[in-house]
Amino acid sequence: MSRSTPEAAIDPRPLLEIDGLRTWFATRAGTLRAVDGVDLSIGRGEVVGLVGESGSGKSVTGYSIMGLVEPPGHPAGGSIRFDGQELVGMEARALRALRGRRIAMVFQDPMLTLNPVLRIDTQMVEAIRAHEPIAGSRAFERCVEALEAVGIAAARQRLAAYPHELSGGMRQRIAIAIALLNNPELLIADEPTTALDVTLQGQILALVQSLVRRRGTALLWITHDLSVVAGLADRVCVMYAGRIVESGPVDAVLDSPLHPYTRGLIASVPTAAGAGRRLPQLRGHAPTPMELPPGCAFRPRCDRATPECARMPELLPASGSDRQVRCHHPLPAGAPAP
Amino acid sequence: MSVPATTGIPGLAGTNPPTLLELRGIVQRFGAPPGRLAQRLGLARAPHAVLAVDRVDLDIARAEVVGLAGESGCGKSTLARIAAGTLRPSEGTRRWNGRDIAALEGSERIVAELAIQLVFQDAHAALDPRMRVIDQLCEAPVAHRRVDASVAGALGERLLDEVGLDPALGRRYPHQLSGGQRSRVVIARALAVDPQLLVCDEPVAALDVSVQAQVLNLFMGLREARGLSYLFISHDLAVIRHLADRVAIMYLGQLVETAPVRELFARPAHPYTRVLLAEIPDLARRRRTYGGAAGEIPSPLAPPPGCRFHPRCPSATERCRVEPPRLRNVAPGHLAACHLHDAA
Repeated sequence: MSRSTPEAAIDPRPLLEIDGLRTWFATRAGTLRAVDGVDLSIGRGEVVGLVGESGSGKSVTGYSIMGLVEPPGHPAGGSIRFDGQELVGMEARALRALRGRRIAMVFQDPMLTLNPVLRIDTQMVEAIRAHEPIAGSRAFERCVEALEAVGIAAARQRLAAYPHELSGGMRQRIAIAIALLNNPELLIADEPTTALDVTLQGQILALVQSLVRRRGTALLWITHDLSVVAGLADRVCVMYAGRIVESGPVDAVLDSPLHPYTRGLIASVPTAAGAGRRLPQLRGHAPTPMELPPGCAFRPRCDRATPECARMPELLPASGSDRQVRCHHPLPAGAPAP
Repeated sequence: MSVPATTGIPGLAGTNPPTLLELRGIVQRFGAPPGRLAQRLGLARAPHAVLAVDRVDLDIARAEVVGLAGESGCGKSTLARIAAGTLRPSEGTRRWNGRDIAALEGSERIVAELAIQLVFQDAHAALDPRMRVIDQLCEAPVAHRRVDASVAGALGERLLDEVGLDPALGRRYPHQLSGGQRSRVVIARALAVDPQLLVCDEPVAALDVSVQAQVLNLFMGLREARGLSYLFISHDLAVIRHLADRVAIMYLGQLVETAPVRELFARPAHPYTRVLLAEIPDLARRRRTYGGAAGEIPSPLAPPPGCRFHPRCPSATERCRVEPPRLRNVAPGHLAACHLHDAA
C-alpha cells in the first residue's frame, strides 16, 4: 500500500508531475483541444483514479504520458516530469528506454498490447530483452513467473498460444503481465475492465490491486466508472472537457464534492438507497472539444453559474492543501454528497 | 415451472395483474444439424450445437418491469430477441394475453407482434444513417396503417417531444445527434406503434453515467405515463435494482433465480447471484480489497454436467456434479435452481 511503502517515506517528491499539459489534434474542422491544461501528480506507490466521461480527454492524458499520441495529435504545451526527467520533447530513444520499463500501460482492449500473429512467448521475451540483455531461456522463465503471478494456470502451455486462442479475460491478464514484466514504477491503466463482465472485472481489479500493492507500483486508473475508483483509489481526479476540475482524497471528493460537475456525476450513479426513484440528472450533454464555450466549460449545464464563469477558473487549492477545484463558485466543503 | 408475476406498481399491489407475455419452455439451439449425406454415410458426429437458451419459462405482467441479468454469453440477448419475436425459438411457445402468438393469424397476429417492441443497445447501428430521424420514426406506423402518411409528421414530432427531444431534431440525420439523443430516438421509434411491452437489450450500457441517468429517468417516466411493461436486460445489476420490480438471473442458457427485486438483493438464494451481487462496484465501498470470484464462464458448447455453475461454486457437493437442479420455490415468489435449498 502506498502509505506503507518505504520509498514513499524516503522520497516525498511525486513520481509523476504534469503541469499545464496540452495535447491538441489538428483536424480539417479545426483544432480539437482534447487535453487543454491538465495538472496532475502521482506519488510513489500511489493509486490515482482519473475519472471522466467520453471525450473528456482522460485517455489522451494517459497516451500523452506514454508518448503514444500520433498525428494529427501533438503536444501543444505543458510539461510531464517523471522522476525529475522531462518527457515532453524527449528524444525518441530515451523515451523508448523508459516506456515499458519504468512506465507501462494496459489498455481497454488487450489486443492493443498483443500482436495477433505472434505467440505469447515471442512477445513477452521481446518485451524483456528490449530493456535487458539477458539470455532467451532466462527471459522465458521470467515470462512463466509473470503469467503465474497473474493467475494463469498451465503457464508454459499458454505461452505457446496465439492471442486468438485465449479468452478475453485471459488476454487482459496477459496484457497486465506484460506491462508488469519489467517492474515499472508507474502503471497506467486505461479502462482495462470496461469491456468485461462484473465477475471478470472483479478478478482483474483484485489482480492489479494486489500486484501494485505488493510491488509499490504507482497506478493511474483511467475510467468513467466512479464506483470502481471508490473501491480502488487513494486519490481521485475528475476531468471535464480536457481539464481537471477537481482532485483530492477519494473519501473527501466522493463524500463532499466541491465542483458542481463532480456532484452531478456522483448523483447520477444508481445506488441501493435510491432504487425506484428518479435520478438527479445533469442537464444537457458534455460539449465536444470542438464547441467549447469560453470560460468554464461546465457553465451551460451548471446551476451555480454566474457571468463571472465566462472567465476560466484556475485549479486552486481548496478546503485544505490536499484538495483542488477549478470553480468560481465551489460547493461548501463539508456539504453532504447528493 | 411457471414464474408467478408480481408488480411494484403501488395501485396494483395485492391484486394479480394479468400476465401479458408468457414464455414457456423456450429452447434456442444454434448450429446446424449434420447434413443428410453425412448422416447416411455415418459421418454425423454428436450434435454440435450451442444450447443458447435451455428450457426457460418467464412471465411478464401488465405494467411490470422484469430485469434480466447475467454475464456475456448466458443467452440473455437471445432470450430478448425471442421475447420480441425477431427470432423464432427452436422449441417453446410465446403467449400474448394467454394466446399462442404462433397460432394467431392475420391482423390478430400483427396486433400481438406490434404490442412487443425491441429497444437495441447500439443506437448508432439500430438507426438508418441515410434516413432523417422523423422518417424513421413514422415508417412503421405508416406501413401498418396506424396513421395516415399525411399526418405522420405530427406523430413523429409528438414522439420526439415525449422522449424529451426538441421536435426540430426530426429533420436531422442520426450522425448529427449525440449518443444520448440517438438512444432517445431509438426509444421513440419503439413507441411509434403504441406497444405495451418494451424489450430493452442493454439500452444504457454504452452511455456515460450522466446520460445513463437521463435515459433511466426517461424509461421510468414512460412506464408511468403509458403503463408500459419492460423486459429490461442489463449486465449491470445496479441499473436493474434501480428500475426492475422483479429480477431473473441467467447462467449458461438457464434461469437460475427469479425474485422480486428487494427480495433478490436482500436474500439472494443462488450462489451465482451472490457472486454477482458481491462484485457490484459501489460508491460507498472505499478502498476495498478486491477478491474476485473464481473462474470464468465455461463455453456454452460444452456446458458442465449437473448444475452448470458447480465448477465455480464455493458450496458445490457431489450431487451438484451429476444432477441438474430444478427451479423451485424458496420463498413466496422467489425461485432458485440450487440443491443447497433442499436441506432447508
